[in-house]
Amino acid sequence: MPVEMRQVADCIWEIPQTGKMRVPGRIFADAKLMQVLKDDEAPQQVANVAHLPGIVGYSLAMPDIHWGYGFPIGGVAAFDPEEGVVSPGGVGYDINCGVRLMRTSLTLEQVQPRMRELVKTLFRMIPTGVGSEGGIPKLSRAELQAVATEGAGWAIGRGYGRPDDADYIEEHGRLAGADPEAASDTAYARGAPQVGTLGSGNHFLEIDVVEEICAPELAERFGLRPGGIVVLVHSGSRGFGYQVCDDSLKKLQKVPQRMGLELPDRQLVCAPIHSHEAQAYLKAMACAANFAWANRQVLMALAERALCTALSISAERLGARLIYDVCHNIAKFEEHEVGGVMRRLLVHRKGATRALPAAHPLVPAAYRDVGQPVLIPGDMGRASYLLVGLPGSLTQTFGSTCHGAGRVSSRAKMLRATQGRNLQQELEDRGVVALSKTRNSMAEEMPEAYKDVNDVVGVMEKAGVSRRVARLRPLGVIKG
Amino acid sequence: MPYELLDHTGDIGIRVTAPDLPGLFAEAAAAFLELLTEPESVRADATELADVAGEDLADTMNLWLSWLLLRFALDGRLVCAVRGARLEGTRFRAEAVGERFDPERHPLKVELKAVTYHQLHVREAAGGGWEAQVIFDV
Repeated sequence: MPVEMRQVADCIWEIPQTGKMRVPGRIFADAKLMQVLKDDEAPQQVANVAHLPGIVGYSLAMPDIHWGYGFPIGGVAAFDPEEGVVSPGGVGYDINCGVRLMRTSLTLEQVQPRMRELVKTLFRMIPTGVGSEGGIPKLSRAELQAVATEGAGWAIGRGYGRPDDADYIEEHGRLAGADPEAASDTAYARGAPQVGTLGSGNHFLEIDVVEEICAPELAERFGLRPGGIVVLVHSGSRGFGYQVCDDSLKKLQKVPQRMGLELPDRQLVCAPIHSHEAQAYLKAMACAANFAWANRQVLMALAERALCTALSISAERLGARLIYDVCHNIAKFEEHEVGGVMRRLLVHRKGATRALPAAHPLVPAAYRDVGQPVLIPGDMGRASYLLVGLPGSLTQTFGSTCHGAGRVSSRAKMLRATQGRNLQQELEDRGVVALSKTRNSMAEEMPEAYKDVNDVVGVMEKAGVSRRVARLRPLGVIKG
Repeated sequence: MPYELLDHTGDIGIRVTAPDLPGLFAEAAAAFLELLTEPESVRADATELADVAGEDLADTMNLWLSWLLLRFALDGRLVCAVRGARLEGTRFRAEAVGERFDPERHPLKVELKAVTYHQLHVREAAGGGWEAQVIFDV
């Protein structure tokens, strides 16, 4: 039965609190996006999350919401540390899946004639890690434990990137509380060959041109000019994180029963935050978050080398600088004002991005007067966005905004719909050179599988949660 | 066809049917292989023993497919046949037959991250026999 949803504000639909829901649900969307949601299971998942103990305010969903497992993709939920729970499914398998954006000194005129060659070089020098190939040389257990505790700093210390890169990464690229003993041998075995690998599915590395500046005074601060070339990386914690999540879900299977908790979906298994199961998960989750930051740090350095090689230029000429790195699958303790009182909450973001406004102490010093950058990868054919957080995020969404365009067509449907089509040619006709390792990922990720990212970021802007700084158009893409 | 793909928006799901429970577990393995690669490309060269036991049949199905996923993720093992499949309560044992992944011969269709518990079920089918539904994270 479809859940009841009623519009309560221009861009907000509410799912009333019924049955064993502990809070109402709220979905950020406009009429066009709601049309798509009518037949989706995601609103039911928003209602399901509202069943979890200690949830504060609302079970929230961003406009890129779609059917996930357990939590909807695009879901945000905050929990009281005393009464509340942590739910590994509310973070997802790809812990700290996220995006980073790097600007360069290159211009459209310089790269466009050589795009095919550039993409081929990126594809050759940046391993996807899918199948048998490795990334950087396979790491020892001791090195992996250092990755798990130091995050991006581990990679920076080994010559991947620059010393000040950490200033431009959420949490400085290192989530506190990581205990390398909390991750299993299997997690280490899966992760060992995968630092510096892209992965499959919707992960990618993209060369974009800055197509439109939406807020000139802000874009200037991030070093973006129309026609400038940037690199966008979307990847996460690879097999290490998948295994941390999977191990935890299996360990937690019996906990809800012990709590006397009836869950509408087994994937929502959870444990009280103060329980030893939850603490063990949070320690392992932090390890996976750090693995992801090290991974993206290495991927960016590999991309930089590939661009220098393909264009026969020096790193100085390339002029690559990290703009920002954000995660969109995470659970973190943060301070938020609820009913006029500051409270420490465990915020789950499952396909949602932190979006802090200007003046917030957690925004990097260099950007504190403009707000935290938010990176929104769109689909391969349309656009990606750089946004900044606005004050409305703190009052409405626990400091969160959307994370992408959001799928609208299933992978199965896309495989059927793309049979017999020359997808590479179709993308080239749209001005995008794309190479992919696995046969299905191109078909499953074609632009028509996604909502229009312009609509999604537009809703969050109207709601006062985040605003557009620049629109980026893909020119070249590599995928797992 | 003993399995169908589900129209899950974000990920990939399968619904498998078989006349009996051991057959259902074997069919789930066949569907899993077909998600990964072309089944006919995989040779029956080596055998490994699988032995998993869950809280209930659905949990056992998750553990069995997770075992197959890990054998591939850790050692590149592809399983093309399941022999001697048997269930005692919720314990499933079988010989998993296959070979090592070879990128030259095995076109990889997708990388599967995990076997989820979302809408997971193993139950008797309405028209007789057994049915399982599993959603994978992609």
